[in-house]
Amino acid sequence: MRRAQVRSSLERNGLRVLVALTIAFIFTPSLYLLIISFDPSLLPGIPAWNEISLKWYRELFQQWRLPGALKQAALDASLTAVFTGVLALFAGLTYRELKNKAYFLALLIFPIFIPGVVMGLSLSVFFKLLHLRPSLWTVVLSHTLYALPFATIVILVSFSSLKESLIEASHDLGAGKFKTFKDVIFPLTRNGILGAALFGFLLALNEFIRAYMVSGWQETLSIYMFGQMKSGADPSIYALAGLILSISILLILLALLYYAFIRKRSAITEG
Amino acid sequence: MADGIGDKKSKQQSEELMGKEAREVNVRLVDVSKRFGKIVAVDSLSLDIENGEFLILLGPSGSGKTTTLRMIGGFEVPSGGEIYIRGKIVTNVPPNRRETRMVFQDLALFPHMSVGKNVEYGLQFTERDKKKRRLLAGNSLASVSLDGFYNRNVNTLSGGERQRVALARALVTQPPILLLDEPLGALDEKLREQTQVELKMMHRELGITFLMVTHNQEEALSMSTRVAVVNEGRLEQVASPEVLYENPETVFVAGFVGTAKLFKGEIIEDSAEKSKLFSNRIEFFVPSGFRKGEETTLVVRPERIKLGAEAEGKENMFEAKIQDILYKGPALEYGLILNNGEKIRARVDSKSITETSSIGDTISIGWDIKDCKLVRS
Repeated sequence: MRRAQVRSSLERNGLRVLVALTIAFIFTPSLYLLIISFDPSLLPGIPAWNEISLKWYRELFQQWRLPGALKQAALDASLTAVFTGVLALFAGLTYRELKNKAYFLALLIFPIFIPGVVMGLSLSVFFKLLHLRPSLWTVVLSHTLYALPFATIVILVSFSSLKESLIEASHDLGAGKFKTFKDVIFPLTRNGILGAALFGFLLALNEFIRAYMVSGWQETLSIYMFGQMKSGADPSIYALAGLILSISILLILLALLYYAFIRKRSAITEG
Repeated sequence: MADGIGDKKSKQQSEELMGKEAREVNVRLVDVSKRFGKIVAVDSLSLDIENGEFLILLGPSGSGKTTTLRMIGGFEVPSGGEIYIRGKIVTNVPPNRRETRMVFQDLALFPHMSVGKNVEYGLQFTERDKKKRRLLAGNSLASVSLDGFYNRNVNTLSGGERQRVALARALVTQPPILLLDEPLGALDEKLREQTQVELKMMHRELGITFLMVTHNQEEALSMSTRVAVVNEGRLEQVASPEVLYENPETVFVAGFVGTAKLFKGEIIEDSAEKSKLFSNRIEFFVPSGFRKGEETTLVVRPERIKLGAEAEGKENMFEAKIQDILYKGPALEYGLILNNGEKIRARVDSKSITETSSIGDTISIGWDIKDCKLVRS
């Protein structure tokens, strides 16, 4: 009995260490980048306390190409989010009513397995065939195509918790298809739909290869950063990375706070 | 018809007849079938459900009873046949354009709406006045003893309360036909019995047609005005609970409704008053009606069997060995084994047994011809 307890506490501690190592593995590279972005030297490393400076951040904001790239990236990501969210929602609604679900799913998910370079190349050739000039729209189209399978999976997971009988009950009470969607399906899967759109946003923001191959003079953030790195430019690139990271962390903290607030409020109303 | 007046008259007559039919028959199923791939769930089922009756579709799981109900509600489209509701063909009409309302097995209350909003939901399509909707919903809630529940969260209700909300929601629009898909399945024993009584009372007060599905034969017998027994997608028998219990027409009904001992055998003698059945080395005196040489099944209910001194002089009398005795309050249930090895159960009044008998004893068992039935095998 005691031995079992000792072993289980050992196991528990072992697991804790493993979890800590995993988390460290995930976050260390990004944090390292964030830290070195405050080092003013030309070959940045971990700065000493008295050397910490915002030099590269100042440099970053003086680069004239950056605001354009940021704007393009934001537009691209937002449009992709909307398109992906809507299309994935339609895919999810269709999936519910299909008989041969497996084939439909396979067809939708398949693009995940096409390498980015291949997809980017085929898209750029295809757009040329259609006489579509490289533009923000070709980038958005490519990104929607890229994000759709992932977003659809998110939607399907969200839909799987939606009980069929609720939809039937709505029809039974007199609601047509659209009314049922508005009153029952959407409110109960809103988070999944937002999640799918968010997936589209993030994937578009981070994607490089496809964007690189189908964009014209428009630079997305990834293309801009890639360009900066290739030209061996100054370490302001670290500042940019640090900026993105800081904003992300801030957003996640806000989301967590909001979630905690909602939980507390619903606990009060139900208690 | 050459005679114009006669023609008109007969047309008028037939219209009257149709009108009468439309009034009395609420739901009519004509040769309705439903196939799911290769599986035949419902096999050309025909049934008339009359206005104001409480009809229960009874059958084991997989018998097609729920599929039948769902076709009437519009949630499944039949593979063949026609469905009429109040005289109109509705076979392909979607649920939102039918006059039926359904209480779902899992109740299907909208979890993101309050109790009141749930009940009000169906009203928005018929009642434009918001205040009136709210009033009607409140009344409907009151009719199921849920006054003051309007603003409650449906997720915090008890099982019985949720049940009532589902009923209020279905009844608020005053549908002519209420469909109930095993609505008592999730309730515990006590609440179940209470709800049975309440549903029956509600049916009497509202006077509308109730059509319910259950696999529980006791529930079917005690609640309905008529029971339709369904097995393997086919209708076995439609009858009042009494007739169904006393005069089952098929072996399946005899075995499924109530408990009964079935002896499968062959008629070896037939006459006007009584016949003789030979089954597994035993001869029984049975009611007449089948001819010599026919295969039939004898049905004996446990409560029709007499034991000990009371069995003496019965037309069918045998010796049996007591295997078990169950005390059931007002009744004692004996598990008996006949000489040919067949097991049979007998249920007698606790007070009627004067002699003491215990497990292992041999006892006389008997019943009269009028206490047993023959059904076609």
